Amino acid sequence: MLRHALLLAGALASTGLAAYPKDPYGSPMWDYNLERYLGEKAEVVLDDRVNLEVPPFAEDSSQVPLTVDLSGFDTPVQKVITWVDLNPIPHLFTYVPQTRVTVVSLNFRVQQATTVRAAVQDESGVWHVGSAHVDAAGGGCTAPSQASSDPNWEEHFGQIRGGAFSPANQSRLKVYVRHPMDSGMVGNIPAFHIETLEIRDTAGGQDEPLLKMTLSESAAENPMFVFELPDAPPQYEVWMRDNNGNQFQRQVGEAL
Amino acid sequence: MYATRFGKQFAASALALAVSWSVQAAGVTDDDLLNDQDTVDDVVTYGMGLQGQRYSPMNDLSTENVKQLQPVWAFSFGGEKQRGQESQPLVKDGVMYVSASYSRVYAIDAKTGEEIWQYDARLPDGIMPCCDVVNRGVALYGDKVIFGTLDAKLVALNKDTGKVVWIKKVADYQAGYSITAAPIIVKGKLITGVSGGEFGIVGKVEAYDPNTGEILWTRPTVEGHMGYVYKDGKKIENGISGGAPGKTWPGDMWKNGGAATWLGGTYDPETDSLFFGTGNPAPWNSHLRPGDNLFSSSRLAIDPDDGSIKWHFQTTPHDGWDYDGVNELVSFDLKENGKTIKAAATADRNGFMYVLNRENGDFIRGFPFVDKITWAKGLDENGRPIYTDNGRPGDPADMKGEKGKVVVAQPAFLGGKNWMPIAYNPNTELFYVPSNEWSMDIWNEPVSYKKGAAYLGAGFTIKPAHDNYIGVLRAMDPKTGKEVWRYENTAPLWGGVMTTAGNLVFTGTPEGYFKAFDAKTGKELYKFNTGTGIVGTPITWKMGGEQYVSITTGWGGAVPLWGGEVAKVVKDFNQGGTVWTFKLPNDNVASR
Repeated sequence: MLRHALLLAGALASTGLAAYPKDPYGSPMWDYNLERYLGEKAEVVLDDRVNLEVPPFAEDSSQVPLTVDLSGFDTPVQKVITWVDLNPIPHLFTYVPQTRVTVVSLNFRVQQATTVRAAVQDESGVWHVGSAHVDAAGGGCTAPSQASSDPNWEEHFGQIRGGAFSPANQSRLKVYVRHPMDSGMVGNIPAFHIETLEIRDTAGGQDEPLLKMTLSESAAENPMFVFELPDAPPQYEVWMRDNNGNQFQRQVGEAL
Repeated sequence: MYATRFGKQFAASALALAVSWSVQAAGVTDDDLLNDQDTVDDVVTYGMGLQGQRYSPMNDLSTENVKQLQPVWAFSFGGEKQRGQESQPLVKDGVMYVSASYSRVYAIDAKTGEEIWQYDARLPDGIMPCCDVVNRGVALYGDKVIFGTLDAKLVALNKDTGKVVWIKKVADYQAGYSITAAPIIVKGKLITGVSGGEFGIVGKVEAYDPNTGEILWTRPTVEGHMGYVYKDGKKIENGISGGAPGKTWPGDMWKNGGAATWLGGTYDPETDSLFFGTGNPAPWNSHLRPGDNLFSSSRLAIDPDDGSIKWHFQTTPHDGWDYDGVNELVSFDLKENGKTIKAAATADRNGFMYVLNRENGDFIRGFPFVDKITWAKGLDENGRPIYTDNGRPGDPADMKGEKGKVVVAQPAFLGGKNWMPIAYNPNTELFYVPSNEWSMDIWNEPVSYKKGAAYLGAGFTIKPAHDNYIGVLRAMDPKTGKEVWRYENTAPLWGGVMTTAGNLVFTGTPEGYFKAFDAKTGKELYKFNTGTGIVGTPITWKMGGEQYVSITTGWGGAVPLWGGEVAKVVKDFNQGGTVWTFKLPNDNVASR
């Protein structure tokens, strides 16, 4: 253990830290969050091909749509991490694709006006970061969910709608699930949110899911996911699991 | 800057490794569960042993030195919603696992009282616990912590992270089901009962695979309902409970017959039997259901392999007073006339204590453990009650208006003893019974079943039997049926009891005192004010060569909700939610 540590220290001393590029938005959280989510030795470049779309102003701080458009990113992707710099828990989602994913969209909560980031790791391990800024009145993370004030919330809980659409020969998947997604930051309402989402090829014998996503507390109530998967098989399944162990499933594809 | 950051990381990773090593060495096994009563360095079962004796062979703490017991830490469950804390903690490898009100579970460093993780179940607003939002404890198996929720689900958590491994719906909470008891693990199966006897549910005992949450068998506790075993995904009929419907119930009444198994069960490895008690028949109005109403208000011996009923013993046939028969059946060796009998004893809601042969359910003897019983004159040679005339609330059909004749019955429906577990000390050969002296006015009313609505057909109000005390902690001799000593308490006792080889008996009071008594004489030797009422059950274990004792505190349970005139005694007790842990410091142990 000690020997290993010394070796590591030596390596660090000789190469030094990879310097991060300057943040075009000048966020105070830039270095901190890059180190936290990508690691202190991560090689980071700014890349316009990582295109983030957010509204300029969040009309509703508890429901802010984010679209990560990678249609211009034409090299293979290992992993994608998104975060909201000034949220109490900045991390929004991370996914690992086994197929090409051109667009991912999800609503998030915003606590105050903030930059939003997406980091895309290419095959060589380099992180390509894109950013956007959303202005907001704020408070979205610490406001109670609508479900928490509805005594009948469980009647609709877990209702799931979803379907595949194919505009211009792309497979576009939309999934909507009724879930309070409570962040755990509101007094007396325990954290209760979807932690994992998988898109699984139901026909093929593939073991790894086409896409595996983990979500954090910044994701909004009743999340609406959009994925564009140009090379998706004709049928697949969307599966989710929350931190209470509830599972939600939806078959998508031609057979329906 | 550089060095600091690196140093921090190194420290963090070393800690992570140390934790994962100790974790790999741990994990509760079937042997750990079977031997829990003999091992002093952990408590891995509800009951401090599957037989439920709540006896520790430790004698570091004794009548001589218990005065030197010192609090070492207190852990708050937090939250605005507190309510009753009826949980018994478990301890394994220096970590305490304890549940709290509102289906919460905590892992705590047993040495320091620091939280390791916390799990809060997200409960629907429509949960229907009759008698407070309590939970009585968790089960441990392998790397899992398993407990039942107020919306009638089983949840398995990873013992190191508190993350959900699996969740399983046991029954429909909207029909009135919930789970408040600690599940137990027997022969690799997770065994649970259900609550909901006030809502016309059908009681059942079920076994699940603790690793996956898959159901293995189900056994309804009301005559007429089919039991099933599950093999390779198939549901296979395994016999109707009681053989057929309608033998001891009129018409369709068995379909909503109650008999909830809400207090869980014990297990006796010598006879390979699960012992589960069953609650009141539904509705409370007994004139609607002439007959014995099996298997309500009974003790059942159940085969853990497939859920078959081996034998039953009904304490209150055709119950009309809400005398649930759920109270724990505690296995013990009864030594008399030069023989050792495999016996078991239970102190019933109805005021009688029963000693049974646990091999076949035969009645050995029964005797009152409360001062006064109005509803029965005694027990016959088979242990069946001999009812008094006019002891039963009147049939509303005999009266003008809706309400039947009111009777005064003692004990009250909250019981000579309620859920709070007894303890048996093999050295003194005495049972320690937390009991209450109270009566009730009770009357019957017409009622019909409606899903999710209270199904009682009765009204009632409880009154203390004495001006100066309600609770009585009693030492009962199972050979003679005599009370050997008693401790009288102003408020009703609602917490469990533990006894040790140090000749001690521990329990807590709603006034907030954690107390220790001499097991032979009942002399009070120690008390400590925990700041809120105690309705939990103590445990003891050894860590770093020192004897520790823990108890959950936090006033609540059924008494403040249903206690009627008892309110004047308990109305000023404040809620809370804390685990208190005490120890006897090493240098205070007398050398032996």
